[in-house]
Formats: sequence, C-alpha cells, structure tokens
Amino acid sequence: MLAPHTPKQNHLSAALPAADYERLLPHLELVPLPLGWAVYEAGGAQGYLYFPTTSIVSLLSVMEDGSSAGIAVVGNEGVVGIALFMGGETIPSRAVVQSAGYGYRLRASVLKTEFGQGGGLQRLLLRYTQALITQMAQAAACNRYHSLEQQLCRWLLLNLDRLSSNQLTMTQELIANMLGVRRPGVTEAARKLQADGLIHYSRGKITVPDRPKLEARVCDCYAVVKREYDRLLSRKPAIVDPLS
Amino acid sequence: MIENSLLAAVPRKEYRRLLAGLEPVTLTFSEVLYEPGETIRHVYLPGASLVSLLTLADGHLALEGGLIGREGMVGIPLVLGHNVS
Repeated sequence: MLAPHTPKQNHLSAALPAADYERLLPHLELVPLPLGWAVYEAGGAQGYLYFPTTSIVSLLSVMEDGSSAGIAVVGNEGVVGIALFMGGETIPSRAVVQSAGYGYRLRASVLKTEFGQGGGLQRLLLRYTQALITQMAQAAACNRYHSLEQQLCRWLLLNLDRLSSNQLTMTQELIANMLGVRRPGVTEAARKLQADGLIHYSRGKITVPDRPKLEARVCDCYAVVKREYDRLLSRKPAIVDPLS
Repeated sequence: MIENSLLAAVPRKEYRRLLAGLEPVTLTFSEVLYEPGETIRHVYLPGASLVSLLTLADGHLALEGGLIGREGMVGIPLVLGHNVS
C-alpha cells in the first residue's frame, strides 16, 4: 500500500520550523504532476510555488527554434517557481514534469506574504536558491568538460536523489533533451554503463542496482552539487519510506 | 555620478545609509575576489570593471558561468543567506 501523502515528503517544507509549517499547512494543496505537464512556460505567469514530493521537474532553457536543454532538476529537495519570491515574477525558461508523481502547491499571494515576513520559509527558500545556482553552474561546466558518460552518471544520481529511489522512469529521448545532446550518444553511454553493471535499462525504466559503483564512476561535479545542497539545507533523511 | 547602476537605483535615503560602508577599491586584472568554499566578507559593486564568475570542473578547468559589471553585484551568496562562496 502506498504511504499517505504529506507535505513533509518534500525536504524543504519538512525543514520548516513547526510554527511556520503549521501556518502554511492549510494552504498546501496536493496536486498530481503528470509527465510532460508544463508547470510554467518561459516568460509565463506563475500562480503557485510547487513543492514536489514524488515527482521530478526539469527546468529547461528554450531556444528560438523550439528545442530545449535542461538547466536543472527539482524534486523532493526543492521548489519550482523561484521567480515568485526573488521578485522577478517570470523567468525565461520553462519547467516541465519529467517524472510523474505528486507535489504540493502554495498560492503565490500566500507565498509572498509569508516570504515578506522574513521567517523560516524565507531563510530556506533563499538558501535553496543558492544551491540551485550551484547545480546550474556545475552542470554547465560538466557539460563542457566531461564525457557524455560522466554527464549521464551525474544526471542519474541527481535525479535518484530527488526521488529518494533507485529507479527512474525515463526514455533516452528525454535524457538526450535534458543533457542537450543527440539521442544516439545517450544510447551509447547507457549501453556502456549497463555493460559494466552500473545501471539496468529496460522498457523506459532505469534501475541502479549498486549505487556506490555509479558514484565511483561519476565526475566530481556530482559531489560538488551534493555537498552544496547538504551544506545549505542540511538534508534530513526522508521521513516517509517510499516502499512502505 | 554613481557608476554602478544597482547603487544608482537604491532609494536616496538607503544610499546615504550605505555610503558610510562603501569603500572604493581598485580591481586589478586577474585578481581573485573569492575562492570556492571561502568565507565571503565583502560584496563588490563594479564600476568600470568586469568580474567573471567561474565554475570549476575537476578543481581546475574553469567555465565562465556569469559576468558582472556595472549592472550588478558580486557576492550573491551573502544575500541568499550563506557567507561561503
């Protein structure tokens, strides 16, 4: 049986001081986040801040010809919609659900009031934003200097962390889009990782049977990002066991 | 005239308050303002200088992830709540 949903499945809301959490709880609305759904479009209005719990949302840079490249992933460690509290209201990138699941949403007006009071939510959201900046910057450097195989390892680990799982439902086409590369390159890199027993890929499901092995193969970029998230947000262990 | 446009956009009263804490500095070519993991003690509001934000891969290969000049400020982590680069 599936565990009941709770906003505490999201590490940011779980890290809120009790009083702040209680105040926000009535405003946190559980919503399904279906695969491919655009949380917001480039330059589009953002009515809610989203706290993913069992889903992953990709932030994508959109090119003039309509093609896109992933710039960051957000899951149960973060929020989608930072433009709402940073003061810009919109952002020239889009946010799309890349792994279906659930999340909670908070209305923009409630968020702004709460953020303006300068309490626990403000502190957490700003620190999260700094961690997110590191994720984006490190991905840019990694994509420039490291092999596609290493990029794929980094990307897989970041995604699994954000689902608190060892399995990811993902097509190679989607991964290629995220990494901003061609699909055959991803197929080749995935085949190598599979041959070495680091991943098992079958019917759009990627399983990582031995995580330490994958961590041994990844470039330092993954550790740089993870350390920064841990340092800034001092991650608590997942409160809800996804397998129970 | 205030060279940095962020400073120029600060309301007059706040600007006057800030003035006492603003210290003119010369930024020389290739001077390092922050190293990764180092405590950030000052923010910089460039006037006629340009500052490059570099992200390192493998500890040495650098990629410019941002460029800051008179439109901006160097030292965002200090504002976001953590004083380490």
